[in-house]
Amino acid sequence: MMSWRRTQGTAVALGSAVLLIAASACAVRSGPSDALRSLDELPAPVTSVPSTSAAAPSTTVSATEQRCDAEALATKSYAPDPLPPVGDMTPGTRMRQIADRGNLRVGVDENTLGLSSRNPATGQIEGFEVDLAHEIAQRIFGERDPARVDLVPVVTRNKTDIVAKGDVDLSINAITMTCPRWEDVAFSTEYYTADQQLLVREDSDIRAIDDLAGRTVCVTAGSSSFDMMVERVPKAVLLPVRARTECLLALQNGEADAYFGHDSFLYGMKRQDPTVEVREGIIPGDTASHYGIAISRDHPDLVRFVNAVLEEIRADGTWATLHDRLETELPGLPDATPPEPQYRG
Amino acid sequence: MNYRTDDRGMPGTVVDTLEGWERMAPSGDAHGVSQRASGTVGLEAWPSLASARRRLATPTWLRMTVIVVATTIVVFGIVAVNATLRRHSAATAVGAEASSVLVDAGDLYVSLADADASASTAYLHAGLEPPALRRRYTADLQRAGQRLAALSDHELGRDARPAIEAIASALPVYAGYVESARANSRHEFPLGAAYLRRASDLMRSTILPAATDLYRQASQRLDRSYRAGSTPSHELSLLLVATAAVGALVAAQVLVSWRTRRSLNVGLLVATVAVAALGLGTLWAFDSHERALTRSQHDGSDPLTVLSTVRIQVLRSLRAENLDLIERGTDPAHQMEFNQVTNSIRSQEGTGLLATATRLAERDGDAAGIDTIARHYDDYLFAHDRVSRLQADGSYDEAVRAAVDVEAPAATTLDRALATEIDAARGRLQVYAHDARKGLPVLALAIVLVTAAAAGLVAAGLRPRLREYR
Repeated sequence: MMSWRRTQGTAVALGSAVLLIAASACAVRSGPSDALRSLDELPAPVTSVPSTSAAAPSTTVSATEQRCDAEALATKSYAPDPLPPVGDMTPGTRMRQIADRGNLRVGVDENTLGLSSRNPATGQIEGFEVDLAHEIAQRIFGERDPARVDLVPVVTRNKTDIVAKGDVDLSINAITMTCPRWEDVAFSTEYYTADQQLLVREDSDIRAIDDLAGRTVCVTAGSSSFDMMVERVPKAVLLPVRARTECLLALQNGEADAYFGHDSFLYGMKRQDPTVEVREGIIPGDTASHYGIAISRDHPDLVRFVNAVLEEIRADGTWATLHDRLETELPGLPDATPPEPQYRG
Repeated sequence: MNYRTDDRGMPGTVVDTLEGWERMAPSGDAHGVSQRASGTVGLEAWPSLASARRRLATPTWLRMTVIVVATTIVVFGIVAVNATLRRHSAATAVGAEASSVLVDAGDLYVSLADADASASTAYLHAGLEPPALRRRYTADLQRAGQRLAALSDHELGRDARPAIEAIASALPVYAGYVESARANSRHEFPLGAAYLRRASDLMRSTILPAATDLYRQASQRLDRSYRAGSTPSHELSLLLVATAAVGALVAAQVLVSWRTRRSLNVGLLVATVAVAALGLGTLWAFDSHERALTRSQHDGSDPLTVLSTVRIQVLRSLRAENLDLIERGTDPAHQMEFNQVTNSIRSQEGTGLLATATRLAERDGDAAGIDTIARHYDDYLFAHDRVSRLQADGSYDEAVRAAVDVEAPAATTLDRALATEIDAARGRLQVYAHDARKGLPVLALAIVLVTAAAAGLVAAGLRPRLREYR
């Protein structure tokens, strides 16, 4: 019938129109944004806490070390050579190479008020150890020019590595001369004697070694103080940090009960925070720390040269002057005379 | 003719109706009439279903037709309104919510990283901290706090909570460390540097990663909103129910004209046209709105995301540079990070985020803003090269001066250019997102009205037929 066909036709027409529209609609799609891929450049979440792990003290003692310990070789350096004229180094020596290069690279700390620290007002690193570096440079270059000394800040953990790797010529960074360290670097004669003591808040009840049981003691990672605490006060809980001042920070924030370190550091910390105090004699045994300048084992001529410079400084009163300046910086630091040099046979 | 009716005027029992129908038939023999009455020719062959045949008498099937057709129309209306409202809310989410969240998250990172950069630049600067740097640091922290509050206000979901809490709890501690650093540095104590380092570690290990996380989540949320606004399931389901409704209408039309031997039922016809027009109109509206949404993504949120990422990367590189200078080049990791990050912005071969941004900008023909950014980026890299050279030569003090006086300002100029372009992208995003939802509420209302009218028309159109059975 006519009506049926017309209805049929209408239905077909409508249906195809609908399908056509739908098909065209499917053509335009906003798919997943490829700008999202730019997010891949962003860093993944940091899951690990920054490590402040210290090097574990070595338990095996090599034969060389045993001999070193037995003969107290740790503090014995090479005999000095006669000093060449100031500013005129002998060709073929390491000192001549340094002179030709134009600058002396020295690893120092930048956190230890008095010994070696960065002055926030000037941005320059200054201190007793920096003065020593300038003394040595003056002999090499013939002039006292701060530009000749490239001071490279190091932290305790890598203060000998940096010499062993050759990144610096010398490392003057309160390095205690020990037999294990002699395996990696050579040392000059002793230029300073420090004593390892405890720094506590002035209201602290820590007065004897037993008081340290279970308490948190801050030490610098990779330091001889760390080894000493492990050996002599095993009951204390150690908090290793990357740089010395962070122990003062820990004391201020209540994260540590005490800081075990060299008195050369501790008096500097007391100056920065009058509410802490140095307590002596709590740790038993020999707590002396003999500082030496670390030099590469490949350059014994440089070692002998530095020893000769140190001899001169001791003799002509420069050392005493520098130490006086240090005592002014660090009130409470005991007076001292230059440590006597010891040489190997 | 009179029809036996009961008191209510409704057609009587099935048997009575059948008799009435037989009396009404204009022509044809009783057999033919009863055939038409039953609707199916072969039903006599099933004598057991004879009573069923009587049950399926005309007014009932007519009523059923009305119900079925009206139902399909109503279902169509519901599905269409639902799809329309979903589209509308997705477009709103894109234009208002999700894009704001993305910009806030990007701003949060930038404020935090810039505060840290200001603090470390002040440290490098030595001497008295320049008042301008201090003001900048304070403004950065304030802005970070505001953005954080804005982000907690938005519903980023439970996943964002840990990140927001991490930043909210760490930020005051960070600020405390920076103030301790300042106080100690004023006394010329190296303890200040220790506090600054701790602040910087906290920023690096906790705060910035949480901010990066939030930024990532915000990007993903925006992407999800786009998908929700353009998912084919809306159109497919709409097509399905529209076809079903139109099909039901046409089938009813055919059935009625066949059974009543009239050519076209006006009510059904109008309803068919209305529903078909509505279906086509809705599909067309969806199509054009989806185009607008796509445009909003192409011209708006894509460049917005890429440029925000560039901004973050520039700040990461500046931070690495500052740390490298502070540590006097003793840690090679910082220069490595600098190179890695700048490589992601523009690599040796010229690929990278800037290239992507250029490509996106050229898509709609306006790459001038990106060109400016690329130029400033060149200046920044040039300044960095100078700082690196001075450091390598051992001229540390000059390197610091170059970093503070030349490189840091170059990074600031670059950041401003990026911010301008990001604002423009955001503007475009909102304009097109607005187009993508404009008029949809009106459409939803129209759907409701038209489907109600169509259903009503179906009933009205078939009522005369129904009345004929009384």
